[in-house]
Amino acid sequence: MKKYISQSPADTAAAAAEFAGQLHGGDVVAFTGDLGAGKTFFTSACVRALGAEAQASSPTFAIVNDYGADAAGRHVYHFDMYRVTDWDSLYSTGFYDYLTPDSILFVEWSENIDGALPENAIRVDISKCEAESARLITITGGDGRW
Amino acid sequence: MVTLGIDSTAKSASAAVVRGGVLLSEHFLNVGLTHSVTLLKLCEQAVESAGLTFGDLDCVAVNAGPGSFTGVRIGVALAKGLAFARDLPCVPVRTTACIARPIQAPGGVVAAAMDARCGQVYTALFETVDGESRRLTPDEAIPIEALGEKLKAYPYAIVAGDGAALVVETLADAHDRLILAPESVRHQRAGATALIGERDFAEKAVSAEALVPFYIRPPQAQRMLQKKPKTIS
Repeated sequence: MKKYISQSPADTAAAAAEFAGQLHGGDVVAFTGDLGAGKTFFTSACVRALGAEAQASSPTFAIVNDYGADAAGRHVYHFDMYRVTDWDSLYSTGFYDYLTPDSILFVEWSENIDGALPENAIRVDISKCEAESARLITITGGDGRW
Repeated sequence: MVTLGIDSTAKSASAAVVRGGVLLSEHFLNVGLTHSVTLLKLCEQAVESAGLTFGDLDCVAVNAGPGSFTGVRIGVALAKGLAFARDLPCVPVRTTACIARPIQAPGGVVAAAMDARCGQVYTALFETVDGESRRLTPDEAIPIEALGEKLKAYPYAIVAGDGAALVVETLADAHDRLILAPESVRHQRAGATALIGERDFAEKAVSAEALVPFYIRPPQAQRMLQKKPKTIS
């Protein structure tokens, strides 16, 4: 398990960059955290650190964003499962099509599809703290990497 | 009768033209390019390289599933569009039948296997009777180990499809009677799609409007999807 205490967006971005450097092709990063906790911000920082072709943005309406290939040639995808409530909906997002050994998936509201996540998914929980801009980022999983 | 065959159910994509049981042209790509970009071009190439135009077509046959959700959708949508524009009948073909068709396994079985992710495959078994491929089991989505158990009932099995290499590798210790189909016949190809479409035309042809995809939901649906009820705080 790895914990980061972030006091600012810059801290979060630094944590994300360090985290992204340890990702492999085939990884699924599963976020939990309240609205406004910073899941999209953390993902954007990861996508930037990976050197993907496009900038990240919230996939709330699209369900899945495709950021192209990163600097290591892995394809980067970003899901928002907030509106996915059953297996048929999940299947129709094409989620299973993206689970390939050369892709990296970032999944927000992963608790909605917990039963479909691979066993070695990397769990990233982002919690608000007492101070307004502070966050506790807890990372586990990834076949023991965290 | 001239039939255009289309497949985009997995990573590869292909289009082919068949006339009277003869394969005139087949264009196949397996380079990971997006089907929404390549598939129409493959259809154009298949038709034009056969010395024909879209106006010469009598039927559009398409692998309508099982397969990747987006791949199946792109193929069926393209088939519907092409057929609708010219009021052509369509024949939906099962991808598993397309995979098995080119392979003969006298005394054994052909196992069509498509990668459904998470250690699962879309699969069906076929036998060879008088040189023809005949279905033994319906299409289903099952774990690879479950397919392995089924295959123990047969003297040998030739495994083909985009999931074949994964199946043979996963079951390597449990089986010495699994044969991985050679690369040249391992993948689903539109030539087989068009030939099946022509053969089954009388029984299976539908209008473009009536053509629908065939999806199998992965078997995880037996358990809970959500970790806990969603609450909004």
